[in-house]
Amino acid sequence: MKSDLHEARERRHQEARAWKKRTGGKVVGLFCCSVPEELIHAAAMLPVRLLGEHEDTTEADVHFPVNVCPYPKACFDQALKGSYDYLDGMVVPNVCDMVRAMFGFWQTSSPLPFLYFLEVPQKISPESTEFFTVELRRFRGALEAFGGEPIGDDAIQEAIRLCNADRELLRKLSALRVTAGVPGSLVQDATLTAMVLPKERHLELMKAALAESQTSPTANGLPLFLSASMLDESDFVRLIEESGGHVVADDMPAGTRYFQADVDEADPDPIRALARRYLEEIACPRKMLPEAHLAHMLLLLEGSGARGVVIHNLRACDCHLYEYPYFKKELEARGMSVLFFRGEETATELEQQRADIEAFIEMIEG
Amino acid sequence: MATSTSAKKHLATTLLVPELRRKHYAQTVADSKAGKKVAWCSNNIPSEILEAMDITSVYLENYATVCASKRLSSAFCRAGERAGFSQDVCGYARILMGYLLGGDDLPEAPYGGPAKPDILIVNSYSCDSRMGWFTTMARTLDLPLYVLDSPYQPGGGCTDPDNIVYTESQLRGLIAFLEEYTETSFDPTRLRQRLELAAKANDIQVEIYQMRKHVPSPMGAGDAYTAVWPGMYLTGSEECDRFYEQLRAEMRERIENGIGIVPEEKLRLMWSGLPFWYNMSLMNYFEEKGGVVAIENAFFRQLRSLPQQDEDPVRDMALRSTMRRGYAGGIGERIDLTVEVAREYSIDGVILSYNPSCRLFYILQPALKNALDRAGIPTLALECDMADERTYSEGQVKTRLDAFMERLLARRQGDRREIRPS
Repeated sequence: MKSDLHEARERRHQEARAWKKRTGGKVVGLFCCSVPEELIHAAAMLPVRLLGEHEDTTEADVHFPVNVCPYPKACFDQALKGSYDYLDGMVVPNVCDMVRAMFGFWQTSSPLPFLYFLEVPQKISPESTEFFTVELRRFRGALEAFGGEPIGDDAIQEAIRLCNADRELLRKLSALRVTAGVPGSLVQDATLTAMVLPKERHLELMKAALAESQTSPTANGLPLFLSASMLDESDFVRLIEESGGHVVADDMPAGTRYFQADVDEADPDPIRALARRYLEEIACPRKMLPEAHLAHMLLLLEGSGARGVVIHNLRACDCHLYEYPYFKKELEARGMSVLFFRGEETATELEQQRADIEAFIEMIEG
Repeated sequence: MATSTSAKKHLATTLLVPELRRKHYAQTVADSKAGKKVAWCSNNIPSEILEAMDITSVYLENYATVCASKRLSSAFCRAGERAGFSQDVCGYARILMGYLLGGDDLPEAPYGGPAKPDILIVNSYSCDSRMGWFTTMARTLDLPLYVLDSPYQPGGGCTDPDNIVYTESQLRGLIAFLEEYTETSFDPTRLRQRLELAAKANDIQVEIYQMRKHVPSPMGAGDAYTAVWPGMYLTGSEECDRFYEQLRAEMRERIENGIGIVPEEKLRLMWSGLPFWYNMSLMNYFEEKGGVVAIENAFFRQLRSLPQQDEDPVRDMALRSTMRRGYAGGIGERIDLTVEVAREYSIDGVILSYNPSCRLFYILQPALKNALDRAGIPTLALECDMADERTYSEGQVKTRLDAFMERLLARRQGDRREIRPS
């Protein structure tokens, strides 16, 4: 049976259209955890993370070669097919080769009234935070010009409180994976829907999900840790569950990376607070050195009770691909078995992966 | 040593490059032995700064192309894959990872291997692969790494003060890093001298690219892919300036005397993306049928004359590099520029080199194909890696090139029939 959160992902386009009709506000699409959605909220607009569908990318294939990351390609395919016809704007951040290229593709093939390229530094340093702070002020100005209204600090602070509250509920649900057997797929659905629904609506769903978690059936598979690049559907986690595993903790953009850190509500300069959180506190391999990323991952792994690590990297995702040999070596040195997948965005690959996951679980259980 | 399949050069000046390159690599090894500090660099690291601080630079993308051109890429790439790197990873990176981690059964590396490094420097601008590659090497070799970060500026942004300020902070950070790890000191006067030399060489290259519009073509891609080398790796040296002065003079002479690459130039082609470094003789393949690869789109994007912007040489560099990035633009601008150049250089057809492990160029190629189709310029897509020779099939590639040239020649004849009075 599908949870309300899982269904909400499927209904996300209807939800966005309904919000737009109800409020008369603008909807702004975005990629990646590095775009502060608080600023879009504060502009009274709805931020919507772009997600693909696991179907043939018949429209996008004309524009892209084969060996590229399938995630942005699948998103662009959905845009070309009209699924995102409610978008008024798009924010494309400088977060990887493929995503940053999407700026040009949107510019030339799917024009919108507002298209913004957000510069995101690729290193963590005081100068980078300073640059990102200035960049976020520029982004705020662009949103003000697009919306025709100034965005006050108080509105940004209010949006920060709202997003922090949602992240807190996500962390609570996430922790229940270890302590109460809440399925990893539910946590991922909760995360994905946080990226696409109006926050107030998501908070309601989260409260309901937390209440239900007291009585719902619990996962009892082999505890596993999942490290992944973008997984924009919870079907891979569900596959692990069906194969006898239970994802108790993760390090991935559509997971812990999205909700782990809060924005400092006490900082009198909310833009600087956003810059710090979004640049310094997201464990992203594009910005941090592999050693720091590994240390972060080991912290997440520690205490989770995971007995194996599944690494899922999308095809041609250079940021994650280079880390893999190092992570594998370090994890195995700590006695952890590692299973690697090079992922596509197709439904058929899941069946091929099932046997590997089952064998991996069997091997660990001995 | 494996057999080389280098391009036949038509210009006497270009024939000087292999010796310049051999001397350069020998010098870097000698420098290292003499105790000079050596930096392994990615492209887009300003060698002028390193030269001004007496630090020897070795550019690893170039070293990887040397390995490929000497037909060693298969062995090194395989070794890189044995070390755990996916075939999706950049061919250049796999070659170097194979060289570093590959074990004892590897062939002898060109020039005895790159000079032993003391530090590593990578630029974030070009692609994600370079970052992953250099961070991996820094850990493997246990050496300090500096990341020179840059904004991407797809919509221009040449004059945005924030981009300039950040770029300047990154350059000053690089200088501080070099001072710390190499115990050398920075002299702005020496940097200014290097920048002036580099600007001079750049301006001549801009002229040379303009001269290539001439029909018949005074220089084809077989020469051009070699002729870019001093400008990329000897920047800011008198040797580099002398090279381009000589090349310009030779090209002028060829133009004045109507000397082309082939006796009768029937087709003018563009090569889009990186060439297949292990088989550069492909650039001469068109010549038998009167075809010349008159221009490439890999290196000219950022070539333009930029006068000095500031007295302070570091700020000057920050301003100029911000402007160059702005001019290079994003996908949309790059597409427009390629179509424009195809027209300006009277191009009959474009060969799109789909290098699957070089995301930077690869992502763009279908969009370029679509734009060129719309502009009525025929294209041929060849999917082979720029460095990993195992992806190349001689028979298939040549059959497709033959068919493409036949198509273009027929089109040309058709054009002539159309304009000839009946």
